Amino acid sequence: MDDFREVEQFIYREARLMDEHRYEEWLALWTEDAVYWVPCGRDDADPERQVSIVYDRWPQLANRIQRLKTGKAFAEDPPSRLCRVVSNIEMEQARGGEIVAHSSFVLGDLRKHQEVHWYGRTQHRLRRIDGALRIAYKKVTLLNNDEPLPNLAFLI
Amino acid sequence: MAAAEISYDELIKEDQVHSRLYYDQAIFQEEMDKIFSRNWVYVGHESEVAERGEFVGRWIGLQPVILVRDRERRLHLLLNRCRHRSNTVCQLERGVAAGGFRCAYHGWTYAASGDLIGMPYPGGYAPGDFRKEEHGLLEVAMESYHGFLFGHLNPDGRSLLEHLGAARVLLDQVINLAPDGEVELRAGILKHKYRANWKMTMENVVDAYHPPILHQSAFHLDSGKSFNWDSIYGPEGNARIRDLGDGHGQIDFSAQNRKSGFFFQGLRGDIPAAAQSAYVEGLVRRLGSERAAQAIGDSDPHFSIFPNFNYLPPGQVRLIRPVSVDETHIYYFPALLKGAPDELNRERIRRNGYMHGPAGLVAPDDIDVYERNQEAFKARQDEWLILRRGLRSQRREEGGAMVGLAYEETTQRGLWGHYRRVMKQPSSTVEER
Repeated sequence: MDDFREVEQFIYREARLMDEHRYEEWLALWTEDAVYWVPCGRDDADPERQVSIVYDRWPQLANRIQRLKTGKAFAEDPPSRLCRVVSNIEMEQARGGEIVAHSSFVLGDLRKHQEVHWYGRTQHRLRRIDGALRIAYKKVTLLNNDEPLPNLAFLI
Repeated sequence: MAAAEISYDELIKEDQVHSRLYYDQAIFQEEMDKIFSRNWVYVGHESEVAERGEFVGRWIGLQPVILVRDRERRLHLLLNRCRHRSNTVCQLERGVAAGGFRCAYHGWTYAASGDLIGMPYPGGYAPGDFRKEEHGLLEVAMESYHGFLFGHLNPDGRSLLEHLGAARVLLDQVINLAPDGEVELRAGILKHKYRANWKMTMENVVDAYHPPILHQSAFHLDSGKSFNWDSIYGPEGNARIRDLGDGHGQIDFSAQNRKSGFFFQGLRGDIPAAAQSAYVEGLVRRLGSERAAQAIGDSDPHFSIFPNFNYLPPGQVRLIRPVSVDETHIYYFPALLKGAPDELNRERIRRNGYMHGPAGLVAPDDIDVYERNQEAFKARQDEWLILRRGLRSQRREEGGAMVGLAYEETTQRGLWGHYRRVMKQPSSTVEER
């Protein structure tokens, strides 16, 4: 159960870093071979053959963060106020010592007097590097991923 | 009671347009009639419904339509409305209509061709009182240009080719990038929405003044930090904007493409060399070496077709859907090059989401600006939007198109001039009753 507590705390902490726009600290959570995927249209589309809302490897992830930090990413100027509730965390051991964690979230996104609610499920694949958990893979399945979306310029 | 007539000559001048055009509900209603019901409107691509029975749900203006391929592989564009007493017969945005379309309310059933093929208790009509053949789903006129499908609710004899006018050669440029001479739109759809008028995005897509400013956060990432963006967008820059007539417009990056393969990013480092040469060989086989070089030099064009189609590098078709005077949806489709190596098409797919989706590095800033525009229209001391950049220096080139520098406004003036001509037509909805 100790492992579970650690994974749970890791996921909560990641959520708080995203809510608080702590971009560098969030980026530091990822492994160098990371895959970050937010599918579009279908939950299980092949991201190599179907377009995704996000399908980043490390260089794209780093660019995403670099852009947000310029202060000239106008879709996030002023930044969204974010508050997400993460729940339904399940954990399983996977091949190669990786840990797979499933969770759900509800996210309130307030910007310029407009409140948007987001819902989704997240799958993390976590790897232990030098004693600390790192994200090797993260898939975010948005409830509305086949609907026209407003801007999603913050971290999800 | 007749509503006060809207004077488009008062609202649209050569060098300025009035904010009311973006927020007035009555003008929006007139647009749905005069622009979207009496023009060729982009609805989709043949490759989206490649199989028998395959369909997608779309809209022409506000009107729901179904684009579907029937059992004989013929394409139809049908109004999504049961002929009995109005009900949507198709509830999904995509799928395969194996048994056609069935209305849930009273069970009227239509083949994929739109023919009415059955209803419960047909004896409810007296003999001779009802003819099934006259009650198929209403079919909307549709024409294809190399697979790009446009619908017309009230065909008036003007062909799609006439409508495309000078924009046609840019569609040809797109087709010529595919070794098999066709593009395919079967890699999904990014869907984006914003709370502002639909014309914002039609203007913005041919505005080459804003990119290095609004999008500086994406332009100045490590990859582009050392690049001299003025060499494209500045006073000595090699980009041009072009009013193609009929409301169509272009940002011409071909000089830069020829210099650096800049926008045809598929050939710029992210594609293995073997796939690059296989691609070029494929083009040469179809076009010959001279025309293949021309196609690669032209690369993915950047243009708009009035009133609701855009094409952008690196291979993205956009369909603009007005929802209300201050709500718009944009669908973004990766345009795959048929016959090109997988690696190249994968890179095109990836860049679609990375640059221009709702979580892309570029499109969200445009969207935010549209909403800021709409908010600012509430300030009404001076309601004019100025479109005077390059008015004195633009020139008409051989072939008739008006051309300006990147940071001028020739394209917006062209769009508005056409809009004014279209909107000055008499309304078809007569209000005397």
